[in-house]
Amino acid sequence: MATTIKRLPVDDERIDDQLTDEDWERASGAHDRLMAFVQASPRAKARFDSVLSEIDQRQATLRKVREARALTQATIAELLGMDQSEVSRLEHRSDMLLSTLRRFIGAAGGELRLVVSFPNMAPAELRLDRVESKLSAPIAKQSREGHQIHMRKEGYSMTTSKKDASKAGKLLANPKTSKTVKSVAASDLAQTKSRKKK
Amino acid sequence: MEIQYHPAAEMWLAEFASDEELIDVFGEIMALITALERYGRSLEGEETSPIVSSRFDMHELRRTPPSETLPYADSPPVIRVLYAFCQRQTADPVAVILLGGDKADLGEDWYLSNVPVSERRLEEFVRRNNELKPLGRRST
Repeated sequence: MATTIKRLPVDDERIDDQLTDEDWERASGAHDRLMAFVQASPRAKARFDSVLSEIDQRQATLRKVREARALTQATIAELLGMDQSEVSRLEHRSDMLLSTLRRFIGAAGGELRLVVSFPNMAPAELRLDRVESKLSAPIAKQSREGHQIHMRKEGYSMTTSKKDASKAGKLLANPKTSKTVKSVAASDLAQTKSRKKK
Repeated sequence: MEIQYHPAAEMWLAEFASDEELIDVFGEIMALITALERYGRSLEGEETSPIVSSRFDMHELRRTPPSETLPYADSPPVIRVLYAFCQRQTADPVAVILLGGDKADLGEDWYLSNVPVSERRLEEFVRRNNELKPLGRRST
């Protein structure tokens, strides 16, 4: 995989004096010309795509994730049994418990997966089964009654157990429950039922 | 954010594109520039950092050999691409790609000669593009 670079182009200031008016006139089209080179070479395009998708992933902040799902901080807060201000603080935090992150992503309807990658090794998903039980402690100590939904070990849905299913039922019955929370609870209930059948 | 190039910077990049051995690196650099186009000022993290030694609002794009956070770059060179933000009177600001190079051998000394060259290039660039105004370095 590693490539040896023998000779690199050098960007030398001496070239600046030799630039013609013509060079300057065509400067505005530079980005299109260079991108055309990328498109013309499958190798350049492959590397371009993989690097850009990596950068995209790193730029995907919690706030962007939430906004992409058209959810408000208030909705996430309701799903996690937190105050909206806590969600706001969460989104600005640079470091947090894995369990907190997992619950946030779960509330947004996604699933947190950890991928480790080393040089000369294909990226692999990191399994945290053994520490999971420690991680699954709820973040919100004071949850509003009937509103707290546990993210369970499986992580696929907000509620998976029988007990949680009844909780989801209560959520649906509660007139104070918001529309979004209800839709999540309803889908969880449906999932629990379909699992039972299996 | 719109991206513009100093003609010399385009020539430097085009040289990568024409060399089969350098085509991977070319793809990586263009991905960095496209990330700048996509995210503008909000681009943050490993791929960019401000140039504090410049009096302009100058930054660098970074192509760095492998680390935990940058597994895609699997070998040297350590490419840096200097760019500066410019204000426009009637439209959105632009980022001007000014100069690129490999700082593997020189390390931090690379900036000593190349930041002043980039500043001269920026001045020439805005002299020829009247609607652009270079921004000064932001105090942090």
